[in-house]
Amino acid sequence: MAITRRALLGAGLGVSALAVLGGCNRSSAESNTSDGEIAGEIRFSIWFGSGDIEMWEDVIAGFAAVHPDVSVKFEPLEYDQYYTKLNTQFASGNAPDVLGMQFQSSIWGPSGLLAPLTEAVSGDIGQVPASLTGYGRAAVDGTEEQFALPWRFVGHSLYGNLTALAEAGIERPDTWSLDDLVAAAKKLTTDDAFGLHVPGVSGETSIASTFGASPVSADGLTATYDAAEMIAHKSFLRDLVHVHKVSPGPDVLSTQQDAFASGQVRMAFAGSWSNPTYREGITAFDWDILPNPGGERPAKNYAGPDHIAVYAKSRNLAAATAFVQYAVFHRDAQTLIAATGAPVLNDYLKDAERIASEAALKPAHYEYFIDEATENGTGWTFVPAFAELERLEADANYAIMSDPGSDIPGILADLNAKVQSALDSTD
Amino acid sequence: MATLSQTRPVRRPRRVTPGAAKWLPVLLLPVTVGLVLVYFSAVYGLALGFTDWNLISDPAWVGTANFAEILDDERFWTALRNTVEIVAVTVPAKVAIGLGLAILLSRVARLSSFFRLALFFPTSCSVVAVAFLWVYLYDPNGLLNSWLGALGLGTVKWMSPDHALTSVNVMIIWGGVGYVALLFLAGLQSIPAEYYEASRLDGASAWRQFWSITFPLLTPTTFFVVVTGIIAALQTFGEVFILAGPMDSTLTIMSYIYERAFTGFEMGYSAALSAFLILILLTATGAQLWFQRKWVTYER
Amino acid sequence: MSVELDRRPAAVTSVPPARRGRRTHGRARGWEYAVLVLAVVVILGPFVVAALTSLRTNADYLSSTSVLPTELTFSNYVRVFDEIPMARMILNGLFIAVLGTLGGLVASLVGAFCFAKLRFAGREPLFGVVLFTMLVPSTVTLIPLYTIIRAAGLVDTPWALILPLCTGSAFAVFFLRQHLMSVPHEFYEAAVLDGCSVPGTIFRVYLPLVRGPLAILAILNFLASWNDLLGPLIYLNTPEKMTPTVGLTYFRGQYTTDFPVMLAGSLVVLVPTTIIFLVFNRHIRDGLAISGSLK
Repeated sequence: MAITRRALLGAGLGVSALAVLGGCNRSSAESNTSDGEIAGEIRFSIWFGSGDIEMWEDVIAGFAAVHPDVSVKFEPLEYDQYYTKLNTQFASGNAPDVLGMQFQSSIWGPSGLLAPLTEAVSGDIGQVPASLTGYGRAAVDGTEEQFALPWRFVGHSLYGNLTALAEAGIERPDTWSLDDLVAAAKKLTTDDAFGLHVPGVSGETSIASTFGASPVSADGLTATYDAAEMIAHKSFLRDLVHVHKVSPGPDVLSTQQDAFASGQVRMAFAGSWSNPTYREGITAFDWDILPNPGGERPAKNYAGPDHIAVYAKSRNLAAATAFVQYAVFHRDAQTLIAATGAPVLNDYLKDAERIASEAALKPAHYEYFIDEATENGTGWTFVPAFAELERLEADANYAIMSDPGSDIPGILADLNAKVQSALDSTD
Repeated sequence: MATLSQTRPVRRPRRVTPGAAKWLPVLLLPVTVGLVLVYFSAVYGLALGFTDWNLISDPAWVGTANFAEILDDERFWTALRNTVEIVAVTVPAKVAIGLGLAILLSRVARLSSFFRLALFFPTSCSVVAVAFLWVYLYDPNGLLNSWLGALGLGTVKWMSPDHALTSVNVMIIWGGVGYVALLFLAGLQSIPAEYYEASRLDGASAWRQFWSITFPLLTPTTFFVVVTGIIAALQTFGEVFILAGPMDSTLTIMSYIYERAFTGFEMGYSAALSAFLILILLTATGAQLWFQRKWVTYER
Repeated sequence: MSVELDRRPAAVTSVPPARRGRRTHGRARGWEYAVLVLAVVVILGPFVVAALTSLRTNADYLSSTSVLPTELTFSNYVRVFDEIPMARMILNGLFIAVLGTLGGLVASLVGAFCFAKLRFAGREPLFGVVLFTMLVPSTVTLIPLYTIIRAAGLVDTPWALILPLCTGSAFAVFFLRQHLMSVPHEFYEAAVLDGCSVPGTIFRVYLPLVRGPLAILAILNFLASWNDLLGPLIYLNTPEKMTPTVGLTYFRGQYTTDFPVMLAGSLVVLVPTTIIFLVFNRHIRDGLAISGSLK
């Protein structure tokens, strides 16, 4: 039965792959449906951020125009609950045909939960930067298979309050060092606002990389929290709070209001997902993204894709695969997706017209974000034990930052041991 | 007070009440279906405690390894300590404040419907909605701190590791006290007025009336509130899922079970933790049923 | 749990209702009102703040640290109905909660009647078995129950939520049994002599006697079903079939929550529960009294 299904899948995919190879325009894709290979109903479930539901409904409508015989049932869920429900459905064998994920494909793919897409996308995958497709690949029996595809990507930048910078007499630098950053933060700090905010875990990536520090080794198998570079990095962050007094300690900032948008901090590392909120919500001051401050090594910001994949037990693998291909490789879908994040298609991602229109909406240096994220980003969070790692590091950060005399090497050694055991248990 | 003494009923032979025999299976059918569902699921769910299962591949038998691991699990003991504190603080507080409010409510004629509705309001909300509200109140820039600031009292780090559990307890008491007050109010209203009239003729003070009439006659209500309250408090989850303090300061047994199951994908370990929780619940409830004869007074 | 008490006379029900509670009404002094008003302020205060915040735009909320809105807008309430099918979700939620509550009350009442009034072999152990289900955490049964409900073909239908509720609950059986036990056994014998069938006795004789407790359970069961988040989330898939409690989560994002809309939605969802409370409130007077034995 598996062979039959695979053969059917191959036939269906061959056609759609050819169609997409022929170009990302609507007419070639339409010709694909006329042969009636792909039909039926598929379920598509994913978590959502602000604007995502409307965006996906539009993408599904676009897909329906290309594949009128396929109906897509859309099941969006709130982030925390999405994974709870997905796990229940996995255990019972009726997960949705198409499903979203972040870093989990490296566990779910080799476990047999996800259908390999390697063959189906071999013709198209080159349209997406190689730095983004690698996270969805995993080895099974010695062969690398593509289990998940990136559909958009997000990354951090250093956001700056231009109005406050101008008032403090600071010009937007082209390049600057960590010392320059601290000096600027001191000038920006007032009685009711902090100069700089470095949110924990992934928000620290830029500064950590300038110290040469990383939570895990490049292969994601070894915890490296106890390295001298990490100790130097965390000491720098603690000094921001307790020595330079330019950054908020724990329990100081509101957890419900965005610290940057509400004016509580003048510079902050934040994700590109904040752009829509900032565009709508910031009226009191002008803002932009600032260059990443360099250190001994170049800064690498956190950047990484969100993925979609096909459930291995799907009864309609052909239609499910076609939907994934449409969302990732079809220019129309990517145009819609770009409303809530950066697209993944290479030529569209760097399209001058698109970048100019995003920059017009702010941040003005949007192109800098795209260049840094695609060429200089790091997605170290794509380890199977990320949820555990994030919780453990947040706890350690709390202990480090809340006390000017905290034993940083001791706390990090303890953290390292716990993270290592989490990494070891998820293989 | 002869009515307060407990009579010992005669044990009757076990047989089906006449006329009811043919109806019994029908009447008990829905409840029995529910029992079969729950017990089947519970046995299946708890049997997983002897396995290692990540929800994906087949469960692997590991014997009692999970149970042994729990005893060495620092986080389990943290969760147990926090849960016991929640029970020890919120249940007595809800009983004391709820009883006080009920006595006041029973003496109020005007606006009594309004007072009842207002006190019951938090119970009408989902736990999630209540917790969201309190996230906002406890925020460093939230309502409570802005009031304290306006009064010149400085600010409190409500959700810091030192204070988080107390803050959660305050929210739980706030959310549950109206429900408890209503239980006590109904209990008070079924105490016959003659008792009070008789004792007033005897010259008893209000304080003495409370301890000799009100409190003893309310003990069945109190018992019900305490038993169901402890069962619910031992399973505290929704509140701390939303309003969570740092460094496991508000980790409860249920939130730890949930975390291991659905973020850690360790169904086996999670099931073993659940078995421990059931054991704790069983011990707590059994002990109360045993001790009730020492303090619960029945009317007849 | 071995002692039978089903022939006890009941002191409470023998007291004429008009006499009860009369001693205290209208005797409250000023300070007692003051304490109650304070309690109401403490309890309703956060709701007032929530209502104020629900009248702010998200931009105003995000950019200002003040509690008071700079301008008032009802747009969040419009968004609650515009951006998600909230009206549809309210109907779904009512359908599930009303049918589930009714079914659950009937099942619990007849079950409690058996445990309180009928003698049969294994009654006490069976009652213990019922009570024990209160102690089973929901995380244990979640996945096996889902598998059963899926096998029954009920996933993504409201019946996945309604039918399990129709098996009654241990809490309700326990609660009603306590009350039924205080009803004199003579009621039952008289009904049987009159030629009343057993179900007729339950619904015509006993139901009116436990109207108060049933009203309480109606409110509590309705609230439990209406406010249930995990059940609809797991068993329903289609957004149009979801309940309002799940609907509210659509305003929570992965990284940001639109707080004013969330609060507006939470207040909208409170309207049906408040109506239910007001409807059943007048039956509550005696409903919560536990006057029977808890053995």
